[in-house]
Amino acid sequence: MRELTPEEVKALAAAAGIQILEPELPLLTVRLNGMLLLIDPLSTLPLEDAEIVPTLLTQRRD
Amino acid sequence: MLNSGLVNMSIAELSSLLLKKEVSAVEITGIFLERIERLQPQLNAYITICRQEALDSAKSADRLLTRAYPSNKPLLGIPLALKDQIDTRGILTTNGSLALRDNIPLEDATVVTKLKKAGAIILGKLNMMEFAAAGGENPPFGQPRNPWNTAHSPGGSSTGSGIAVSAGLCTISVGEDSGGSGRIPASFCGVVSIRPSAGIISRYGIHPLSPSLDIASPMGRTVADCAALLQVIAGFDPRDALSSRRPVPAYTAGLREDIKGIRIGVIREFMDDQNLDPEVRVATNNAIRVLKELGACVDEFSIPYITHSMYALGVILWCEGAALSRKWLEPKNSLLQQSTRLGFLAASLLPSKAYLQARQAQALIRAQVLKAFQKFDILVSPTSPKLAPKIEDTLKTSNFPIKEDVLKRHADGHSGFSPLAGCPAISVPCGFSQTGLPIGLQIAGRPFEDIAVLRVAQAYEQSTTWHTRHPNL
Repeated sequence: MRELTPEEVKALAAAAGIQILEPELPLLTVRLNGMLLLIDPLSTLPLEDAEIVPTLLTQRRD
Repeated sequence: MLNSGLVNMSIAELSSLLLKKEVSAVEITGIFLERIERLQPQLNAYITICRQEALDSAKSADRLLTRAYPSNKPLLGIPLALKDQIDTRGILTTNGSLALRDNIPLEDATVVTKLKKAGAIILGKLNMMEFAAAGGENPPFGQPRNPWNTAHSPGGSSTGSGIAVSAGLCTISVGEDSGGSGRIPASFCGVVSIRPSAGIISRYGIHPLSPSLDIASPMGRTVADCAALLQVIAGFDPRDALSSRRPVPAYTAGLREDIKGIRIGVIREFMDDQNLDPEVRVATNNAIRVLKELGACVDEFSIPYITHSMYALGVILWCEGAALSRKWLEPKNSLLQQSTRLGFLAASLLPSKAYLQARQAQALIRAQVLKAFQKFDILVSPTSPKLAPKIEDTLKTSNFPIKEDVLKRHADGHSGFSPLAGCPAISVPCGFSQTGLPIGLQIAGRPFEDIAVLRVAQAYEQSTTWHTRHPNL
């Protein structure tokens, strides 16, 4: 996934109605790009075969 | 003998002394309070010390002990401490954050109600990572330190729980474990912690980080103490929508059985991990040898998707935490540490697809883990592939400044699969590094087979002497 620039992060936050402080922008950009990195390895899994179900209810015979 | 020995005694040992009137609950409580005050500047385990409340509870316990020992109070006179994520009526509960520095709950969490009913003495509220999410520079309630080496991290997010149990600043503790927050500090501090099966302990009154993954985690210096604590706090609670209605089994009684013939799978991906510390590898292999000697049938097994656990877990935790913490993210409200605030802000900007993919990955990982449990009764691995890092090194990466750190840090995690699969997992001490840092063994079982996990952990613990070592403080 392409890294976001600080300007793009600022625009994203504005669109989402999230107020950010200008001095935080560089670190926030690093942090958001870091989180986006977590998604890349997940994309290698056969996610289309996976049905999301609640963790608990499938295991309980209550 | 008493002063030095009492602080490291088990529940059973303390109960026996109380029953024989060799020591009073007030004396025990006083000894712990003195030790907490002496070591607090060094370790920062506590946020709030409940001196008067603890002494009042101890006096009540002593009054009860003048009569026959009340069988419905299994923790009578036992000193414990709670992660500050857990609501306590009339006592400051900060969730590790200055944002809640004035928060005095009007009600106890369900686990606290049960502990009080069982006669436990609450010594105080323990330090933790802010909102159970992030550690960073300048922790608001002082830098928590590992009792085995104060230059090293005690792990988190149930930071103070690991420290306090290890350092003899309480007998037992209730932490919380959404993705390893109980087991990792247990591993780093050389104590025991179980993340029980999802749904068996009420979450009511525990500040949520990730509602789909959160659960309280009993901590103690022995498996038997964790089992005794679990026995008290487990059970259905109508105030928790995810609470299980299953009857509470006899966890403590289940410890007595041997483990001959039990099938144990060693998770290959975690043992083949290139980032596995060599000393952790040796300690884990030694532990596996002990389990074989105890009669377990041990084999390696591959669970390919398990290496993706911490990626999925990271996204789920941060997204759910961010959604719940939105009000604290407004700049005018924000008393959060920078690392917590940035983490929640970043997660607020993730596309919904990210959360969806993480939940899909969870379903795949869970399916593979449950399939492994068709072949094995128990899965084992190191709790953490690393020894407790130096505090200065953890601070350097608290905002993930380096891209490689992000992937490596998450790929390293061994604690994520059990919350994703809803299965119980315990960490027990299984050795020490040459520099004297503890190493933990993770033992996981099928959902709702917490007894099997406890039984294997107990059999291992009783065949070794790691749990008898205590930091020199």
